[in-house]
Amino acid sequence: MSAAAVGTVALVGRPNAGKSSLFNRLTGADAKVGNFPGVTVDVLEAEVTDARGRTWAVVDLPGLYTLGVSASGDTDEGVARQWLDRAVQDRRPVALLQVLDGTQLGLGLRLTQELLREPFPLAVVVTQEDLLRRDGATVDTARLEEALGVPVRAVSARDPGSRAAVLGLLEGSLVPSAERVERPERDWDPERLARQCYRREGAGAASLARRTERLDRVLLHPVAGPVLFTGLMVSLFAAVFLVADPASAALEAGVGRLSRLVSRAVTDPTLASFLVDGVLGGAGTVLAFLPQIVILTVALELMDASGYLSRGVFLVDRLLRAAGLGGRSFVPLLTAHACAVPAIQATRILRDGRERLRTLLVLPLMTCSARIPTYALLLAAFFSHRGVWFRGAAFVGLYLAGACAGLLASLVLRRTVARGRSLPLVVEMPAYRSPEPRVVWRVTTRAAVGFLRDVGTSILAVSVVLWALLTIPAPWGAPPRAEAAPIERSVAASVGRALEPVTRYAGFDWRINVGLLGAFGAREVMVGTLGVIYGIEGAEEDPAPLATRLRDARTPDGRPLHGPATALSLMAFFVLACQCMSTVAALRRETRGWRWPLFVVGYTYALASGAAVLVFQVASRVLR
Amino acid sequence: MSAPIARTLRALSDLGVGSEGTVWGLGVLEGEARVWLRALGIFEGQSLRLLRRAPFGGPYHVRVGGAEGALGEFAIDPSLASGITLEARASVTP
Ligand SMILES: Nc1nc2c(ncn2[C@@H]2O[C@H](COP(=O)(O)OP(=O)(O)O)[C@@H](O)[C@H]2O)c(=O)[nH]1
Ligand SMILES: [Mg+2]
Repeated sequence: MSAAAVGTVALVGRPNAGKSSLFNRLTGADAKVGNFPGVTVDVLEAEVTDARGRTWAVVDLPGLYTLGVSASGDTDEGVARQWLDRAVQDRRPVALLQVLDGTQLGLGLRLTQELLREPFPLAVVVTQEDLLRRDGATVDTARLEEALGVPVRAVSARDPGSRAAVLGLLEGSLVPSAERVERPERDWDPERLARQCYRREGAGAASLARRTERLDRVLLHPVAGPVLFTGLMVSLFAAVFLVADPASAALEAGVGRLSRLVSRAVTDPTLASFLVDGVLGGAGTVLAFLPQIVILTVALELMDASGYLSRGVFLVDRLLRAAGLGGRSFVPLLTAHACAVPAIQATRILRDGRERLRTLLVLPLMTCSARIPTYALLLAAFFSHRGVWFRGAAFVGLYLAGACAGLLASLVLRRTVARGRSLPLVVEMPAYRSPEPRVVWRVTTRAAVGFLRDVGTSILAVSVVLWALLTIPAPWGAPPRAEAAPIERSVAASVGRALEPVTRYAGFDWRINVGLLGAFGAREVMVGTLGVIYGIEGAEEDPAPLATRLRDARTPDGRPLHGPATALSLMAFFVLACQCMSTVAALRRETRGWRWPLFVVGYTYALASGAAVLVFQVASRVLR
Repeated sequence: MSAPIARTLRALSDLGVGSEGTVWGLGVLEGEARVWLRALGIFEGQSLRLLRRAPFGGPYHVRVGGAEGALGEFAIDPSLASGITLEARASVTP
C-alpha cells in the first residue's frame, strides 16, 4: 500500500458472485498476490486510483458462504476470517464491498446479514444486472439501501462501465475506517427482503435458469454425462501429454541453440560445462514445464468459470471418496499422470484444505511421463526376449502400481499425518456462464509468471548443485584409474561407491547409485547419466546401445553385472520415489514451507528403498 | 374437489427424483455440517426439489428456493441427504 492510499477495500462474496470479474475491471493487469503468512490460497491485491486522484488498495478475498465457521486457515472461509481479524488487530483502515449475485439475491443477503455485524464500513454491489434485465427483471437498489442502511449499486461485472460505478460508490460513501463501526441490530429476513426488492417487469423468461436446466439434462445425463466427462478429461490429458510436447521441444531447442553459442564462446571446458549442463540445462527443464502449466491453467479456469467443474465433481465424487479423496481431486490426479508439477498447481481448485494436502502428498506417486524412458530402457535391456505383449502389460502394470500406491498412501495419510475427515460434499452448482477471455488470460499469465519465479529458481539451483556433484572430482581418495571418465572421479561416484554395501541389498551397484543421485533432481536424467557412465553418447535419443551394454556388462570374474532382478527392483524404486526437484519446489510453493516437500521426499524414498530391497530379494530367488 | 395433498416428513434420501418439499429440519446432522448447509442456502423453510442423483449412489442434485432471484443448486453427499428432513408435498394422483 502506498503512502497516499486512502485505505483498503476488501471484496467479499459467495463464490461465483463476480468478485474476480469486478476485481479485473477495477484494477489493471498488475495485481499482486498479497503476502499473508500461512495463507495457502492466493489473495490478490492491487491499487486503483479514483477520480479525485486518491489510491485504494483493493483485495480480492476468496469466495465465502459464511463468516460463522471456525477460522482454520484450511478453508476459503477461514482465510477470509483470518484476514478480517488481522485487519482489526492491525487497526488497518478497511472497508468491505460485498459482491452479490443478483440472480441469487436471497442467498447473498444472508451473507450481508453477517457482514453487517462486522466492524467495518460496508457497501453492496449487485452483479449480473445484465442477466436479470434480459429476463425482464431488476433489483430495487433504493429499497435495499433503505432496508440495509448501506449504499447499494447494481452493475454488470462484464460491462466496462461497472468500473466507474464501483469507483463512484467508493468515493461517495465508503470511507475505510480504523475505527470500529457499530450498527444497531436490525431485524429482517433475507428471503422476504429479496422478494420485496425483486422487480419483474413484463413477462420475461428465466433464461439463465432454463439454459442451465437444458444443459444439465445432457451434461448430467446418467449415461451421456459420464461419457462426455471422460471424453473431456481424456482430451485434457492428451493435450497436457501431447500438445505441450512440441511447444516444450521448441523452447528446449531455443535453449539448445543458446548452449551451442555458449560452448563456442567459452573456452574453459569446466566453465562451459557449468553454463551449458548446469545453468542452461536447468533453465531448459523449467521452460519445458511451461506449456503444460499454461494448458492446464486455461482448461481449469474455463471449467471453473463456466460452472462445469462442479458438474464434474458431482459425477466422480463417489468414486474418489472411496480413496479418502473427493471429486475435485480428480483433475490433479489425472494430470499427474503426465506431470506432477502442473498437477500440483491444479490442486488449487480443492476447497477443503485437508483434502488438498492429502492430494498434494500422493500426486508424486502417479506415473508421470519422465519415468517412461527408464522403464523403456530396463524393459529393453532385460526383458526383450519376452515379446511385445509382455512389455505392454508391464507398462500397464507400472501405471497401475503408481495409482494403487497413491490411493493406499492417501488412505494411510488420512489416518495419520493429514488427519481429519474432509467434510461431506456440498457444492454449489452454479448456472452455466460463458467465461470472460480477459479474465482467463490474466489468470493464466499470473500462473505462468508465478511458476517461473517461484519454482523456476529452485529448479535452477538444484540443477547447478547436481552438476557440481557429477562433474567436480572428489577431493578425497585416489581415482580408480587416471584415464577414467570425469564422472567416475566425481563426488557422486565416490558417494555411489560408499553406498554400495547398503544398496547391494536392492541389487544396485555404484553405477546405478550414481544414476540415482543424478536422477534425484529429475528422474529423466537417469538414462543420460547411465549413458555417460557406460560411455555411450546420446542414450536419451536411442537407448538400444545402452540397453545392450547394460545386459552384457560383466563383473571382473565374468558374471552378469545386472540381471532382471535388478531391473525389477529399479523399476519399483522409480514407481515410488519422488525423484523430481521441480515437484519439491512446486510443493514448497503451494504449502508455503519446507515441511511437506521434505515429508514427501522422505516417505517416498523410504517406500522406494523398502520396495526395491523386497523386490530384489524375492526376484533374485524366483528368477534364478 | 382437488386432489388431496399428503403432508409427511421424509428424509431427502427417501425422496424420488423430481419431487419437492420444504426443508423442515437438519436436526440429525452434527453442528459443523448444519452450519455449512445453512450458509449455503439449505435451511428450514426453504423449498427444495430433487433434480437427479449422480451415478453409483453418488451425490444428490437439488434446487432450493422457489421464486427466481433466490435460486441455488447444490450437490449434496448421501451421508448428509439422510439427515435433511423435508415436509414432502407428494402430490397424490387422483
Ligand atoms: N453476465 C454476467 N456474468 C457475470 C457477471 N459477473 C460475473 N459473471 C460471470 O460469472 C462467473 C463467475 O464470476 P467470477 O468473477 O469468477 O466470480 P467469483 O467466484 O466471485 O470470483 C464468470 O463466468 C463471470 O464471467 C455479470 O455481472 N454478468
Ligand atoms: Mg474468483
